Amino acid sequence: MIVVDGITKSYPLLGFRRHYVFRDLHMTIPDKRSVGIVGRNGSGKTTFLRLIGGVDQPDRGRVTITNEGTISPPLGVSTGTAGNITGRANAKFVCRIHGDDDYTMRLRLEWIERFAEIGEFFDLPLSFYSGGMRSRLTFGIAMAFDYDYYLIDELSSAGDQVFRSKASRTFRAKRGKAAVIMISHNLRSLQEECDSGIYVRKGEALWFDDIRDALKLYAEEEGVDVPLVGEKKK
Amino acid sequence: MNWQIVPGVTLAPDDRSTVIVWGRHEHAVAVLMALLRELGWPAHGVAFPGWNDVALTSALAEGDAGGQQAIIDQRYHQGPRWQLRAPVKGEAFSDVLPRLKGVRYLLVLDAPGVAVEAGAGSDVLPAWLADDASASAARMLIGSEEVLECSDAMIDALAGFVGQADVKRRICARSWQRLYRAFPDLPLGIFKTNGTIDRVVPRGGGGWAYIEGVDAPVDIEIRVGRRTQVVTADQMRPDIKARGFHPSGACGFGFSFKNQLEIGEKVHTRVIGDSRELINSPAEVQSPDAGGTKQPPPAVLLGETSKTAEEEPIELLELPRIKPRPPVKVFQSSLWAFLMREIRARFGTQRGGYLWGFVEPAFQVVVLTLLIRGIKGRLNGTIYGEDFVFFFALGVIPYQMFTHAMSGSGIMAGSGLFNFRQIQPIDVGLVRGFIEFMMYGVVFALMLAIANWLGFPYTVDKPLELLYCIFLLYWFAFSIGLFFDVMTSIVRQTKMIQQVFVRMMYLTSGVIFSIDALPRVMQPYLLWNPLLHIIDQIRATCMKSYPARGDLNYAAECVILLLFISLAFYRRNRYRLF
Repeated sequence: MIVVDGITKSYPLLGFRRHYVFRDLHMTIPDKRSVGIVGRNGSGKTTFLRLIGGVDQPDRGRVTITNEGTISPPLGVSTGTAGNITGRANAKFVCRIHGDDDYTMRLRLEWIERFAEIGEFFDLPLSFYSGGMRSRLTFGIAMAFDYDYYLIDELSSAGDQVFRSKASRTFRAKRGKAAVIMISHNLRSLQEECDSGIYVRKGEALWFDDIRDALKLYAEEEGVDVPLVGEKKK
Repeated sequence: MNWQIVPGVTLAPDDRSTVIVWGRHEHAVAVLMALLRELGWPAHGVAFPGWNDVALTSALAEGDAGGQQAIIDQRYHQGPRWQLRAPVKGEAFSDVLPRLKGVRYLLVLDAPGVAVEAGAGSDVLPAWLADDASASAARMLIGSEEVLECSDAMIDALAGFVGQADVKRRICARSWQRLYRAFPDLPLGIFKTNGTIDRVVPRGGGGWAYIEGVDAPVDIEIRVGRRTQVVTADQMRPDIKARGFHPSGACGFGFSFKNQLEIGEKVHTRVIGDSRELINSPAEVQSPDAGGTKQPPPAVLLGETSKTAEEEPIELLELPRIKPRPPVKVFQSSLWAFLMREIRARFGTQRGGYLWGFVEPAFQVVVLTLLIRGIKGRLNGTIYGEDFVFFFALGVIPYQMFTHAMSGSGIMAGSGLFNFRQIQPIDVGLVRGFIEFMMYGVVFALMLAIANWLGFPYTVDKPLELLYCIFLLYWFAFSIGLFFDVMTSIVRQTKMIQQVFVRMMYLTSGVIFSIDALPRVMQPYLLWNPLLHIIDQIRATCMKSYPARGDLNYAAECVILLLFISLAFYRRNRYRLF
């Protein structure tokens, strides 16, 4: 369970003004539940993910993860990878951060190489990668670890259909074992892959047990058209 | 749908003798039969696979031999699959009944409305039941129009009937469709499917299909050569609705293959459960340009709504879970991981990375030497008994170490490094400083070796003291660097002050002069600078007759104080550095 306890987060703007992303936000995110986050650009979705992931610190309040749950770093197209070293070196870096011994690291690297399907580019610096290949690598590295919570920040937006399908199949395989908390603007796939939803809007984030309620409110308030998938898969 | 089972009747788990499912196809005889068989129930399953609707009604209504005969003819000739012998032509319905005497269980699937209205059904069947199967006969009745679905209610009823609670788990097929996918050889004669495949281009194609009278999507199997794919026909086709075929129009499907199709390939399509292909099938793959009169195939969605048969399941990596570790361990492994990454980033990928580390200080030394020689007008000058080159090298290399180790975490902020919670800004300063020091250490050793090889006998007289000096220099550089990083994260303009500071240190730290050679008036002021002390002492460890004025104790005190200040400062403001 992730307990968000009274978080306030602001960023300084020019001069002495501050931009408040969240004010006194309370929320509880249950275990082993896939959660979709929707909201407009700049509403604070990524900030929310970073706060949960412990990568950013709130001004006030705190985020607690119960039962010593492990949480992935926020996974975006270009987050957390270094461009001037190879994909393999990037993967090794993450393995080492997690304190892998040599044997475990080798197993992980083999798996990542197979899973990412980027061929010989795995041994080339990331500056030669396309956006899609980067996301494949980032995704592969993250999926090699058994986190309790995966934070996905529009990772598959750069990927092709094959990758998207692979990603959603992986999420399906992880379902029931781990929680996936994802930001996506593909509302259709959000409905298929998520159970619950968070709608982020001016200064607050609203929790919905059913993702479709979140999408409905989002659609209502922003005047966008949300294709609601009729049958919800259970 | 309303399923009922005669109360108090349960199939005995060890009794696998005979179950007869009696009823019309439309009443899901085949589904129930398949369920029972899936449960291992009727080991020699017996069922009347179905009744022709019209024939049954007329038979029950009129009670005439002709009608009964029609039923028997139609249904009893299926051979040894059924326990009942195939009736001889001309045998009457009533003649068959006695042969059912050994049957203990009879499930009658009946639409009561029809039977009661006809009158004959209520006479014949219950009488026959009472007569034959007596107390152990079970009677299952359904009364509903919507009988095509193998619903939860039906599974629940079945679970009660066979006395097993785990039926649900064992039969995961919740709808007849899925059931047919699981049992492709189930007889599906009575479901009348309708559908066509539209134009197919290399990218994919589409079409529409449905079961007549059923407003539920069907699954379509698409086969091209050896490749197969299953998609669900649930996309909207307003044109089909408009033509009055399908009540809601949600019967369209689209497909695409991972590898494009070849022009001229044959695409076979059929509704799963039905052996017949759709109209127009097999369709030939056409070139996208040819025959543009037809409307293009509907948008193809892959991996979103359709389930492809090509999907191989994801094999996840099974390793021991990552466990939370004590902070010291995390710190250790982060330092190690970042060190390996930085070494690779600096030297591994960019050619000449090593060389550049050598060239830069060497260049400075050469320029300084030439300058001083130009000023002094001599070519082979010495200072304190050693060559100028050595003197300057001993100033420039520590200074380079200092400045390079100083530029710390600020430049890493945008690189996504801090996306990993385990990596803290302080790691960056420690590791980068370490790398710079190691590199310049190698540079210095190389220079010494080359000089000795060329015949200049430069030596390090007090290596341990030299190491101590470098140790102090490392922490000095680290704490100054950290201080400026934290300052810069608060006020961005501090970066400029840092640059000025670095230049100032160049001029005031004895890089290009020795403190001893300066006028006595200036000396006390310059001796405030701890870096001057360190560099002075470094010179003294290598040059025998160098008049050292530096005090390492003073330098150490300064370093400890600075380290404390900047670490405290960092602790207070570290989150700004991300």
